[in-house]
Amino acid sequence: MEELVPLSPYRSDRQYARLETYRRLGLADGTWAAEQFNLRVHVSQGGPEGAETRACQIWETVDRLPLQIKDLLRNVIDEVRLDSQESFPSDTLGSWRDGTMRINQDWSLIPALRDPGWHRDLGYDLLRATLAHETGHALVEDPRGGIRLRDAVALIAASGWLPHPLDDAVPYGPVGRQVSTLSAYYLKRLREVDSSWDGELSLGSPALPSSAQLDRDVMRDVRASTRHRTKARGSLGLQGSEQLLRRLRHADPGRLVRDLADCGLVLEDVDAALRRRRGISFYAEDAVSETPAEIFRCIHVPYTRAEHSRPALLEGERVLLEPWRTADRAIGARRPALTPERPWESLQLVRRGVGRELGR
Amino acid sequence: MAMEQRFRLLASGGRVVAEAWGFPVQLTGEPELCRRIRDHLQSSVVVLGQSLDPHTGERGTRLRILEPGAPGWLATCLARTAQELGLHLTELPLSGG
Repeated sequence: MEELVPLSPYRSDRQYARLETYRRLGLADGTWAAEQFNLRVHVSQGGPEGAETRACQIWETVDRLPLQIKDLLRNVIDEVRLDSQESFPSDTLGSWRDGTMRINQDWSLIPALRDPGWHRDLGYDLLRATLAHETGHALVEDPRGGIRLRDAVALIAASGWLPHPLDDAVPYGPVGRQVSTLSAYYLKRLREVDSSWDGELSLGSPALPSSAQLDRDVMRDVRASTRHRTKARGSLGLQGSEQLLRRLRHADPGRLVRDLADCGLVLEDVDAALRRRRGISFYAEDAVSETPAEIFRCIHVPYTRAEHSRPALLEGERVLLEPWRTADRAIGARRPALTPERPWESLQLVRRGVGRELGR
Repeated sequence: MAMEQRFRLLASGGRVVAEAWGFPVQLTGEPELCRRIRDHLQSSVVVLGQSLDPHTGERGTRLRILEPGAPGWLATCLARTAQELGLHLTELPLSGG
């Protein structure tokens, strides 16, 4: 029987007024963010030269985001902070944690962006990609909803995460041919590592271990700072397909073929399994907990799109988009956007003939 | 000897126009296309990656620069080049091609 798709709680029933409308009325961008997206806005004082321009660019980027991301900003993110470079790890563009999104307000200090040879639109593209990716985290891990662990594991399975074939040959056999059977296998093994990994619970549920623990329990390589406890608990030892291909390429071919034969595998089958599904980006291979957010980003903001990662995109459509689209269909057409809340300003809107634009 | 990462660039209709592998990148195929592809294989590329504050658990997006020869640099450069030149990029299997 086909599983019913749950309705996303994050789908808004209203359209969003344009930033330009607020600016035309002389209202601050922060007012637009507060009224349209329920966002508290904090801008660090004493920002560097150009910080105000950066803030404007951020809101202009938000204005042009796809609807689902706008809905998430409204319903999952509570606060946007434009903070100084010093408060971030090096080269960081933006971050997310517990309903707060922080954007670095001075990208000019990021060494990698000082190269005058980069395309002039790169800053905008990166900002858009950052907002989409961090919103993806918020969707996936929000304690008020989020996605089920088993759906997160399906996204991981669809993105080419595999164990080394000499460590675990099972995913290279029939189990690995379908995302559904592979993710069921990964989930079973995950529960063997820690029985509190309940596939039916939302990834952000307090009853589940943390997403950092997901990295430790699933990945072969985790950062040194988060490695403690990993191996004592056991691990699925998964690697991104690019990393794994790189390791296999460095192996001695003759010995690899012999070792694989001892496990009942042939090189062609391993190669086929590795190429069946591939990582969606380098970012998605940094950590398994980054994979769902990066799939969400790739669906909405294809900064670079790899053709070989189609299975990940299809699974992302099912897990990340379908509940939102189902709500879209169930709720029906959106009501007009809210106009600026001040009566005098609303009157000015009508007088200036922009009421039609706002649906009034 | 280790297995090299090899790529094939195809024109519409499946005609092989170039193959690229190793570092420094070796290119074989139609000379004019090889020259144009080589032009794209000179510089570093920017990609996005994660940052994580282990103390607060705050996740972030940071820039990563792939210098020529770094893992993933050739695939990224070729993917962008293929997109620009309207070619289809395939990676050849481990067992050869």
